[in-house]
Amino acid sequence: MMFAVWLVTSVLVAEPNTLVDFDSEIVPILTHAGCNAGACHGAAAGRGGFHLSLFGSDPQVDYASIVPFAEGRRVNLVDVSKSLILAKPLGMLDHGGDVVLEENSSSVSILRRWLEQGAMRGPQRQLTELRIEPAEATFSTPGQTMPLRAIATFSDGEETDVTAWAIVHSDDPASVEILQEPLRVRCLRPGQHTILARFWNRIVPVSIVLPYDDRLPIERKLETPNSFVDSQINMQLGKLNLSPNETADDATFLRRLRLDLTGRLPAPKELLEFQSTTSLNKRERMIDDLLVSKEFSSFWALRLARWFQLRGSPQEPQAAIAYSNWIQQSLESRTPYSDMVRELLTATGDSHLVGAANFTRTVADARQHAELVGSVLMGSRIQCANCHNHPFARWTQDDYHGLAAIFARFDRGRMVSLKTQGAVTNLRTGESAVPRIPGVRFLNESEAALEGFTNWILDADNPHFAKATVNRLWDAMMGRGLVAGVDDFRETNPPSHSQLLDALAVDFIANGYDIRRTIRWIAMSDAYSRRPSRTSGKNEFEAWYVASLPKPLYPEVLLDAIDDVLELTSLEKGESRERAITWLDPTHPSPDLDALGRCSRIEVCQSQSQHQGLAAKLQAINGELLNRRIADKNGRLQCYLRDGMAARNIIEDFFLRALSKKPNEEQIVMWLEELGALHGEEQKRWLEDFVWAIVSSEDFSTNR
Amino acid sequence: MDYFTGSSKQTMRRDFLRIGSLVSMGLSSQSFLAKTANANLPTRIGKARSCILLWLDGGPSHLETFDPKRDVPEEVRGPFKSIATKVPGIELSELLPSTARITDKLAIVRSVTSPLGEHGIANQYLLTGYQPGSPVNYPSIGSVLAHHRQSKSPLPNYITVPESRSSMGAGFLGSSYGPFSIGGDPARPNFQVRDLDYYPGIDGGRLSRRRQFLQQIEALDTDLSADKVTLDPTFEQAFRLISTPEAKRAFNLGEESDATRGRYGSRTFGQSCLLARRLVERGVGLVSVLQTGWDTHQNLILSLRDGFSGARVGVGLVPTFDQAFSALIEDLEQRQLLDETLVVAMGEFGRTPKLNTGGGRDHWPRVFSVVLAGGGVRGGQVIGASDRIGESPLERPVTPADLANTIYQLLGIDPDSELVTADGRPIRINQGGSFISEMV
Repeated sequence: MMFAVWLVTSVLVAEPNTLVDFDSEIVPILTHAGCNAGACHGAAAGRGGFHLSLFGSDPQVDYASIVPFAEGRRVNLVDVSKSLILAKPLGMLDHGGDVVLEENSSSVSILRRWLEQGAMRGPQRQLTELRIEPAEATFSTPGQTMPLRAIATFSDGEETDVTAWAIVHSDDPASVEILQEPLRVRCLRPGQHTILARFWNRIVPVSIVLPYDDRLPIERKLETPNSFVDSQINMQLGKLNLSPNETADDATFLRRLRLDLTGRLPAPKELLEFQSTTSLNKRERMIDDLLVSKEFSSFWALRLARWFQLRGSPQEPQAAIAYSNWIQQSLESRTPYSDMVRELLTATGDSHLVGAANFTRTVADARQHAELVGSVLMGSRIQCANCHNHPFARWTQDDYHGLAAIFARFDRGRMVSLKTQGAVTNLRTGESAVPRIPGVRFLNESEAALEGFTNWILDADNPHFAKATVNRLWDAMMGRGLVAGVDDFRETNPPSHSQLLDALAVDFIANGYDIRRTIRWIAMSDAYSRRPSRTSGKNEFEAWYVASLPKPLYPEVLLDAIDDVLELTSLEKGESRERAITWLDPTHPSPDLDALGRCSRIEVCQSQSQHQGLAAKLQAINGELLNRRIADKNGRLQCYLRDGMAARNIIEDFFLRALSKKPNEEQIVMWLEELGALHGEEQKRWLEDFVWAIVSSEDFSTNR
Repeated sequence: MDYFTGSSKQTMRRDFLRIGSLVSMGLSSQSFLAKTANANLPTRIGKARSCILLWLDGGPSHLETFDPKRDVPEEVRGPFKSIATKVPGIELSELLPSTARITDKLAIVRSVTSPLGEHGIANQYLLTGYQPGSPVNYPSIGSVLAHHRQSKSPLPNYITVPESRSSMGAGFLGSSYGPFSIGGDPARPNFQVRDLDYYPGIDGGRLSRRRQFLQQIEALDTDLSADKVTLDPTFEQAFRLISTPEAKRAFNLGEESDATRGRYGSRTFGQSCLLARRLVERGVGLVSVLQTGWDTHQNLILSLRDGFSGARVGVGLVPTFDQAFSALIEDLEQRQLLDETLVVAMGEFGRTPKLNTGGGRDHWPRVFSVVLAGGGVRGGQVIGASDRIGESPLERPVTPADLANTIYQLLGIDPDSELVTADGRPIRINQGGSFISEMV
């Protein structure tokens, strides 16, 4: 132990005469010992009258607290050992936090030297980089350990080994264990896990990889990738020694593609044609056909409406109509997404005519505006930075209030306009917030803040916008973002395939921010086309796309599907029915959609429907939603019966229409045997129950 | 090779430490971990068959309820006074006169402490016993109970009245262990739970057939025969509930006398508490009753006492709570259900010791109060204390993990036993909490 202390000390301090630097040496010691944690002196109100900045984010405050405050008792330059800053953590005086430093530690010897040197605050160098070696640790067997080192680079150019003051945390101790003295990591379960290493006020993720057991039967060798998407996905699968499912059959593929691109089920005729065609590139052709269809624009307008949190107000229905139309038309005319965003950010005028101006009206004030912009355009939840700097997230209070300040001049009435004045108070300073490009710089007075921000976000070099957007597209198609949580980009939540995310973003920027192009890349990949997993429940491989992930249907899509199956289609009826997916405004009255758990957009929409509990099942069994449609004398089943359609044909038709499945002869015979000799009213009731089961099944309401 | 070799070693190590602490509590490890042989348990643990959790949503001020302060500056004391209760030495806010009469039944914990001051994450901590932040989505106490105990009654084992919060869900246990929210407002005259009665034209026979057809459809892609297919457990429960008239009657408040209904108070919270009593009477494991509005950043007099401006008789949050809570305890006792029904009243945090400029109080998780009664709890006591101004725990700090641990043990659930996530990860029912031994 003594040897290790000596070794570390000698690594950290070049010569005993060098001045100890308060910011980059003392503050990390306090951080490592936990002094400035939220449970102790880092709390907003401090502890025991001693307040430090949370995790050392503000050394100026810390220096003032330690040296001049408390009548200077915290440091005693005459008799260093009497300094409270030593005596308390060493346990020599009563300390609510107990003993947190040991006499024979490098931490204490550095503290002493600092005190002996006069407890000064030196050149205030900053931490410019924190590097962990290795950044990615690959193991070969469970239970292995590997040492970690933390190297800090400071603003004066010096590079130092700071392993002794690094704090490493594993969110998932059953998979990765952290061991101390010396600092090591032990991997217990296969997979790719992320642990977090922090030093002073910076945190970096470290990847821990342990391939799966190669004695598992390999079903298929990885095929030659047909695009950069698959080469990245396959590379990761290879690294983890996972073998993916084979490609899904035509019927499964078409149902999935149709639901993802157009929000509707494939019609039986379309499905049978697709299955029987023998051309080699039929899937590619189908993708291209669907991408240019009006149905694509209609459905993706709904997706974008959810992203933007579009919500109408009963007093001004025209505003929501204008907004919906604008989204729809922009998609139909293939307006580059960057141009759409420019309009959303800067549009002014009569919101009943200028659809894009309603983005500004979605939010009540500048702060909410900043939060919406952060979520949609930057993939970040910045709301915590309202009240405090989060120590490890990149966003500071200045960033948050500075971003809000950019949107502070808006008048959000019917006539959206920019007033000459408008400000928000920066809670940190108590003064008006200076408009700021978050994470970058303050805008000076001569710059038009809104224009400056818009140009920055849409600049080809902007690090957030393209990645956040392609991640949303990926999440919509694949069921999980490359960054899990489409508004949760942060250093401590790294992408599962970061090179793929980068490549998709670069492609998006270089090709006119065309969302159809990115969607096409995804739809064309092997990863998209895989057979679904056979096991139910969450699978631990979901981040690697071994199988296709099940996606619950939007309530709007589900209601349309229910209507398509149980009611006659417009073609058959000769009159068109409004599809629920065209109601972009969630306040459009629809008790059926409310019953299905439609997202109100008051908050960010959950991707998982919450409507899965007992109440939903009771409603399926006894409620109006399904039963009324099944019994409807103008509904599909009753019409078929009146037309004298044979039971066998009815059964086949509903299977194909609802589940995109064709039961084989044996299965049909089994159903018909059950039906037996029932006829008339009895047969009708039997078929009603059959149809009910079809549309209540898990297969129906899930996109596999 | 067993992938879990490493982790099971770790589990064994943790078990060893845990066993050590159990021994120090005077409980031998073998007897506690064996669920069936309860002979060696102190007789008061595991007595509760049911739990009624009164969730005071928003963070109720401890200073205006269960931990009022006397000789302190006005901006700490707030607008209300303290009163004596049935138990000498214990005082409550003057807004709780009926609760003051039954204080001999209550265990008031005044030193609960948490670091979490935001509603969403604080809710999770109190309702699951786990701080959020890891990849694991922890189940609520009610879901763990539903999972632990097979209900013989067709009534769902975990019910929320009138609605849930997201932290009351089942987490990784899956939505079939989520709460059944009754929806609607029990205080309304035509209150009924939706969709419990057959749709016209449907009967028991057709219900069975529908169920059978569902199995056949789910069996299609598998190698199983239809009768071996397990349906979504929530569907199964729905089928059972619909076909059992007796279970459905549990929700019918019309069966209660006007006097009883009046005793609980005519507002939603009161009638919800009455419904909760009916449900635990019929064997439901955990009923969570929601009272919203406790996030009183402004004007305490209006929100906590009056309820609306110019009220002559206070109908705000505290009087409403006072009437319903005391009614519930007295009612349970009269029906001889109190010993086997654990009642817990809590919110996600307390409120700032000093009033703010709006005459309200802001979030304050550093110290707050939680009240327990019934189910083996020793009443008439205060556990722990906050300091002079209600700012920090003064003695015997209790964490939400400790509360969860205690609730589980009172319900006869071993907090050290493990649940398993869908990808095979073992998670203890409770981690890091200790039983509050003063409770019994």
